[in-house]
Amino acid sequence: MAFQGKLALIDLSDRSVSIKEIPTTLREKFLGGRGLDAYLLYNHVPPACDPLGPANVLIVSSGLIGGLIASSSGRSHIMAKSPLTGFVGSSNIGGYFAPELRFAGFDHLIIKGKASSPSYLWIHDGEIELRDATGLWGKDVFETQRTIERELQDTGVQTLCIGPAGEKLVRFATIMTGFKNAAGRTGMGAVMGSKNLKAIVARGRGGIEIDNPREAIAYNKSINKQILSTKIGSIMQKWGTLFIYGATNPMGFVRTNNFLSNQLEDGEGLEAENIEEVLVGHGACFGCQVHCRSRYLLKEGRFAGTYAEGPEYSSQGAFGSMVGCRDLNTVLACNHLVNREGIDTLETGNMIAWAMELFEKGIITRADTDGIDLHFGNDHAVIEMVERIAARTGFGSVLAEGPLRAAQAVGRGSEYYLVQVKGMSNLHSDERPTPALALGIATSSRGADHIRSRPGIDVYNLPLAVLERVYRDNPAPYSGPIVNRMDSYEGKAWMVVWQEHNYMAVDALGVCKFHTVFMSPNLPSFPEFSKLVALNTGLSLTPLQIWDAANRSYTLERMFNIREGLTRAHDTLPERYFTVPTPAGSPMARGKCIDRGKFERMLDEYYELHEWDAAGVPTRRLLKRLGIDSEPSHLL
Amino acid sequence: MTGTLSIDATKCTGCRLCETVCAVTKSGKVNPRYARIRVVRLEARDKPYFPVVHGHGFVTSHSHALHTRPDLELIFEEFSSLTPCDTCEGDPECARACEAGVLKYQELASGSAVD
Repeated sequence: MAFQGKLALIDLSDRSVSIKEIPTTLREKFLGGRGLDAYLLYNHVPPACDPLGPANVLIVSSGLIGGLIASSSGRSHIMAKSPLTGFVGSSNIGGYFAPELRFAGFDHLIIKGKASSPSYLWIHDGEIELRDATGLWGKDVFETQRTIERELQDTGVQTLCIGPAGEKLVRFATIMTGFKNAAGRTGMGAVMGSKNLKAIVARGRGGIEIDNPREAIAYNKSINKQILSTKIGSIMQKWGTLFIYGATNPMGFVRTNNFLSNQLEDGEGLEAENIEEVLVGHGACFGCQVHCRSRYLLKEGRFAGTYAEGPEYSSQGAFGSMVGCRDLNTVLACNHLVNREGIDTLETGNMIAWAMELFEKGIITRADTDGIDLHFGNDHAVIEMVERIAARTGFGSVLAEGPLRAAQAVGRGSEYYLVQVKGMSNLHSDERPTPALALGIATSSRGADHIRSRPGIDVYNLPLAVLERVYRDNPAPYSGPIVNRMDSYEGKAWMVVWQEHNYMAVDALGVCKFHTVFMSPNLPSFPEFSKLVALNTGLSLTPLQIWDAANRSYTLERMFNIREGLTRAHDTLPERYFTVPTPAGSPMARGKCIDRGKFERMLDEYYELHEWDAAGVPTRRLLKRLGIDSEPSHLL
Repeated sequence: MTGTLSIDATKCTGCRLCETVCAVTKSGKVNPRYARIRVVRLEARDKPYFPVVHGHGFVTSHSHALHTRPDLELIFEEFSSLTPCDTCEGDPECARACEAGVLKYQELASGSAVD
C-alpha cells in the first residue's frame, strides 16, 4: 500500500527510537502531512510547555500522496509549539525531502528531548541514527548540506537543516533544504536549534507500490495540463511569484514603509522583469512542471558572483516596499542572506520595517540601533540589519525576538506600530481594502498569514458564476450569499472557511498550494484531491470526506491554540486597520479601513460556519460529529 | 522499433518526474532509484540538471560533465542492477510526462546502432 510509511518517535535526550505503524483509521481521519501532524501536536505537546525547552516536540512529515504520482508532491510539513507566537507552530516546505523520507520508510517523525551535543539525524532504509554534528555547528545552510553530502559520500541524500540563526534561537529561524526552500514561518528552526539538532538527512531505496499506476500517470498528466493552461501557471514558469507585485502595487495592496502607505511610488525597480538581468534558469520541486524557483547570480555589491535561488514575492516586499527600498539587487542580496543564515524573510523584513517607522518617528534613535541610520530606503542599513538579526548582534538581537517581545523591550508605545496578529507579522500585503483577506489574517491558526485561508481570487472581482462554481457546495453544502465585490463583508466568512479547508487538504496531501484554488479559480480542489488519493493509495475518500478530514485537523489546531490561551480577542487585526484609511491606490483600494462593527459580525459568521461558539471555541456537537471529542486519544 | 531518447538538458528543471514515471512503469515501484533514467545534479550553475539514460551511451557522450559528480559510482551501481531503457517500445513514458520538452523519442536511421 502507498501509505505504509511508519512513524518514528525519537527522543534526543536518551537517544531512543520507537517505530510505529500508522493505523488506517487515522489516515482516513487526518490523511497525513499537516493533517496528521495536527493530531500528533495536540497529543504530544504538553500544555503550556516552553517552546524552546526539551518538552516541546518537533514533528516532520510527508503528505498522504507525498512523493507519489501527483503534481509537486515533494512538500514536507513541520510542526511544533511556536517560540514566536506560543500557539501552533506550522510551516510547509518544498524541495525533495519528503519523498526521500518516505523512500527511507517513514511518513512522520516526532522528535522530543534535547541532544547532549550538536547532532544530526541520519535516516536511511528503515534505520535512524543520531550522529555527531559538532563540526557542522556554526556552518551556514549551504555549507551544512554540502558537508553532509561529502561525509555520507552521496549527493542523492536530502537534508533539512538549520543555519546559524536557528542555533542562536532567533525566534523566527527557518528550517531549510536546498538553496531557498524554507519552512519559514513560526520559528521552527529555533525549535530545532533548541534541541541541538542541526539537520535531518534522508535517503531511501524503498519502492512504494501505488494502487493504479497507469491511470495515476495519465491523470497526473491531465492535471499538469490543467495547471499549465492557467495564466498563473504559465507566468510562474517565467518569473515565479515575483509577477504578483506588478498586479498588487498598481492596485494599492502593497504595504509600503511598514504601514505608512499601501502603494510604492516609483517602484518599477522591484518589477519582476528586473530579475531577467541576473537569471540563469529555473528549478522545480519534486514532480512539479511549473518550476517557479528562479536561479540567479548576484551581479552587484558585496555578493557579486554569488549563486542564489528565489526570491519570492514575500522577499520583494520584505526587503523592498516594506522598508522603502526600490532596488531589486537589495532584495536579491537579502534573500541570499536569509536563506544562507536560516531566518524567515517575512518576519525579518517586518522587524526592520517596524524599527524604521519607529526611527522615522523619533521613538528610537541611533542610540538604540547601534548607530545605524534606519531611515526608510536605506538599502545598506537593511542588509546590515538582516545580518545583525541572524547573528543576534546588538539591536539585531532585540529584533530577533520577534514582534511582541521586541515591542516589550523597546516600550515607548512601539507595539502600536507592529503589523502582526497573534505575535506573527503579516505579508507585505495591505488588507484594509479587502475584508475577506483581512478576516483571513485575523483568524489564521498560526498568526497573520496569507497562505492558510486567503481567498486570493476574491480580489479579481470575478464573474459570480465562477465564484459559485468554486465555493458553492464544493463539496460542503453552503446556502449563504456569495458576493463578487472585494470590498464587501457579505459572504466573505465562507470564502475564508472554504480556503482554510482547501489549504489544509493540500498540506495534508503534501502537494503545492500554487496548484490549487489560490490565485486562480481554474486549479484543482476537492474532486481532484479525491481522485489523486484513490489512484495513488487505493483509499476511497469522497471529496466530502477529505473536507471533513481537513475540518478535523483545522479544529484540532484551534483546540491546541485554545489550550495555550487563545481567545476571541486574538482573532483581530492591528489597530491601524480599523482607524487609519489607506492613502493610495486604485479607487477600489484608496481611503479604505476595516469597519470594526462589520468585522465583528463577519467574525461571528465565521465562528458559526465553523460551528464554534461566540467565544471561538469549537462546540461539543462539532467535536462529536468529527469524532475528536476525546482528544488527546494517544493512538500514536 | 529502433530509436533512442534525445535529451535537451538545457531545458531540464530537475523535477524528476521522468524518473518517477519510469520507475513505476518499469518496476511497479515509486522511487526514482528504480528508474532507467536519472537526473544528475551537477555543480554547473547554468546547467545544473543532467538527465542520463541507462543503456543509451550516457558515459561516453556526457562523461566530462558527469565526472564532476563525486558519487558517479553509485549511479553506475544502481543502474547496473536494472534492465537498460527500452524506450517503452518507441513511446517513452518519461518523455510523455515531461512538460518541459527535455526528452524526445528519436527514430534512428536504418542500420545505425544505439550506443
